[in-house]
Amino acid sequence: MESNKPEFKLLLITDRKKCKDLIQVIDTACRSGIKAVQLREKDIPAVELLSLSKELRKITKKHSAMLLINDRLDICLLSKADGVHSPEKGFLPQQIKRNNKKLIAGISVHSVKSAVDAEKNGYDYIIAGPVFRTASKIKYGKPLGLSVLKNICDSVNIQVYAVGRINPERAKKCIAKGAYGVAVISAIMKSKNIKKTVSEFKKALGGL
Amino acid sequence: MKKIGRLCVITDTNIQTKYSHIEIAEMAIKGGADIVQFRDKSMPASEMVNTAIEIKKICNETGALLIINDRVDIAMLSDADGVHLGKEDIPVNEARKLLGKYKIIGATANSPEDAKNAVKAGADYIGFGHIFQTYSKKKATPPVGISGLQEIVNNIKIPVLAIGGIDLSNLDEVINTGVHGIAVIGCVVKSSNPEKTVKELRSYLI
Repeated sequence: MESNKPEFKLLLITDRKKCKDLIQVIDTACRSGIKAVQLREKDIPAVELLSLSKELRKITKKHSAMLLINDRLDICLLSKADGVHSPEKGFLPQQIKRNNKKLIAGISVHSVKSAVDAEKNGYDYIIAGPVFRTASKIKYGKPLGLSVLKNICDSVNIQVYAVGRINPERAKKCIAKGAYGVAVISAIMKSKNIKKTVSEFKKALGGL
Repeated sequence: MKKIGRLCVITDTNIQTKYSHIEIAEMAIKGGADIVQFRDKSMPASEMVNTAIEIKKICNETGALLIINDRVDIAMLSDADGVHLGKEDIPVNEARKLLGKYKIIGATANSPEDAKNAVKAGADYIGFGHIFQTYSKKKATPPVGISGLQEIVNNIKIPVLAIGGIDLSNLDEVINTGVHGIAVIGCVVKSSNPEKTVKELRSYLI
């Protein structure tokens, strides 16, 4: 199976409930230099998800940013997105890449063991978290903390993105522990000055 | 025209928890169902693919069709016979791009207008309802009744499967409309003997 290494450092995960106008936020984020967006809106019908995805594809394409779709391969294929991000028990990489081997396959992990399994299974990257305490991920229990993040980064060769209440300052700490980049929701969805936030992340991560 | 079965059993693990999807499929096939529609709105994707592949094996014993509800990707990865799409799911014409012309695409319709649109979009069959009151889903519209079904059967050229509250007590009047077939959930999965219920339904649909 072909492995497709992502090159972005900052992944923006959507949550339309955390902003006024999602399209506007994504447009501004892409204009500010963001190179990867993951569409993750779990509670809207597929017909709406598909049109939203096509909309985001136009914006991301214009700015040469990647578009990844959470958990739905059909939406990814129909909107010509770049890959699928699987939740813990989501699609396997060989399933994601069956029709198009250029697609990127990512997965969320919450432990060293699942990180190692993810690499073995052939995923191109992992999102590890929550690193810091977060209200939205409380169901996953205690945050991993920077030490477990470090263990995860030491245990795999694929790119690790840290997630969970990441701001530019914490992003720097995650990179110091071996993370390749970070994934954020609120930091940008709720930002009053997206351009400024993105440039702060750029500085902390040494690129976007 | 593609061969569409006449007795569709929808696997449901929301209105009952006694049986798994696979168990319902087994009982449906033993009872003589010729379509199994696998429907689950919350199962993780990889588990859904595996379950669909298992159900497909069961269907293959009799040549029955496996139709996946909503998830076109699951249908592709499990090599199911097709998908059934509700009005909020991926549109029929979009699903066709992924599935190709040979796979079956069914579409839900609750009105003559829905039905015409589904035909225009390239659906292979229509699931029309709900015919009667039903306890498997909260409905936004009143039941279409036998007269509503009759109108669709008279005017739509592709196979129509009547759905919603159909059981042995009202099956006669449903079939008398000339409808192609029926889709059932509650009367099977909530039956004390699902396999026997499917057999009895089947006896009307020879």
